[in-house]
Amino acid sequence: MTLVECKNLYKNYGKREVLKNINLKINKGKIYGLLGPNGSGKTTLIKLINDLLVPTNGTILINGKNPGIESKKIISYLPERTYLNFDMKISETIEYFKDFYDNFDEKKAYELLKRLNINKDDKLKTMSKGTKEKVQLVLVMSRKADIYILDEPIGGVDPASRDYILDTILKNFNDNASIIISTHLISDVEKVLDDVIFISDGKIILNESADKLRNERKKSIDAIFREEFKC
Amino acid sequence: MLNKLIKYDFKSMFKNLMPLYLILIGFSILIRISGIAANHFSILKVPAGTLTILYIMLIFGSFIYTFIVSIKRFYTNILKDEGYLTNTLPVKKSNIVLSKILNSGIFLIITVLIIILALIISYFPNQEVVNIFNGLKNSIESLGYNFIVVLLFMIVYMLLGYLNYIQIIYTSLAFGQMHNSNKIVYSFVSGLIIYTVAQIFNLITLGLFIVIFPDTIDMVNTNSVTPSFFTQIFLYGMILQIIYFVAYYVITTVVLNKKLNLE
Repeated sequence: MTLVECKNLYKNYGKREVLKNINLKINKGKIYGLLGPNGSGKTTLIKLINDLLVPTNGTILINGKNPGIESKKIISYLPERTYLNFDMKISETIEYFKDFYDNFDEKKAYELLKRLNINKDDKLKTMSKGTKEKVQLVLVMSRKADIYILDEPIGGVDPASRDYILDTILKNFNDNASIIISTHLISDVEKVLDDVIFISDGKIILNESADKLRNERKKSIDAIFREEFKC
Repeated sequence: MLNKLIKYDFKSMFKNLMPLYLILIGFSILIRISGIAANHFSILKVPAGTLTILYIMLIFGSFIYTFIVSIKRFYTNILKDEGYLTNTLPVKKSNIVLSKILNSGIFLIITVLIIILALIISYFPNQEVVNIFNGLKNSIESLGYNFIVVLLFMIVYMLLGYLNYIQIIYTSLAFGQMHNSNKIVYSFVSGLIIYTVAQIFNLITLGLFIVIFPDTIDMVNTNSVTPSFFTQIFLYGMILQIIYFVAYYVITTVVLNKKLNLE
């Protein structure tokens, strides 16, 4: 079943075309890697799906509807920046998520924080960038959403924590949900991906099953990426 | 969901304004003590006078700061990084905007109340204030009006006027964010255009008012203003404020709904 569908999607910033005729389907129960170099349009596509930007042309359907209140109920989105109020304590951010998202599991959030050794009484402003990212990931993954959209979820996290975080992501979503992970740290995420979407210069140049791609080309996704996007 | 939005906007703005309220109360106590001291030691009259000047500046500054906090909350919570969360909450944009407007009003009222409290601490009892208040009350009642009704009317009118200034900036920021660069410059230009359009609209409606009530010019020229004229002009002003309030609110909401551009 299709959860997200982009049809003939274009996005311009002024005269600059950032996305060009994107056609894409995100199906239920899969983990997608949205892979591309910096400035290729990954974040723009994610923002369009999350209703933070408006398409210049084309449509986006989430469960058959345009982005809006209904889609926000079922999408759990982790942006590539800190979107929490720095004056808040961690416990207050959990309260905030509980207040606004019916599918937020408070107990799970506290469990995950405990395992990451993050104190719920700490204020965000006293935390390092990496810890803030972990907090956001905990909040996002503690929702029982249908779609998780994670924009650079491990970018600011030390390599030692990355496996743990990926593990957290995998353990905390149900089989009916889908995940879109945007990253350029491909080797770290490659093992979890079902499908890969290569995006370059605002166009989708490859959309394929990860296993099929590896078998056909006899290379890792990371190696294929390096080949495709060679400077 | 509106009540939850109001709760979080209130908490955040309160954190910003709490230090101001503490300073106001602290300063008012200082003024009281300096007043008593200056009565006993005339040498202290000059520093007490300087303190009073600072106090007046602080009171004016309090309004400006309250205004700025209201604008900052809208800007940071909707259009900057926090906007990535605010705009992906499953709530209506109209409620997000309304919560900011309502909290701006709530905090203006709180600031005014704290200032009144501070003034009471500094100067109570003060016969002059009582005299001015009574004089105002008598002159309003001599025109045949109920003082309390007029007072409430004026409070609502001023509150709406204040919120409309806040809303001009909200609307300008909403227009400014649509652009991909120089968002603040575009916001400023939008603000100027909105202000100019509002002034033109004021002139047109004033013209209409004179057409509907042709006695207006005569009354103003001959200084023979009747109470019913006052009622008409007050109501005219109030209706105008309500029109602006609704117009700015609708425009801001529509722009954020249809043209959000969180690059």
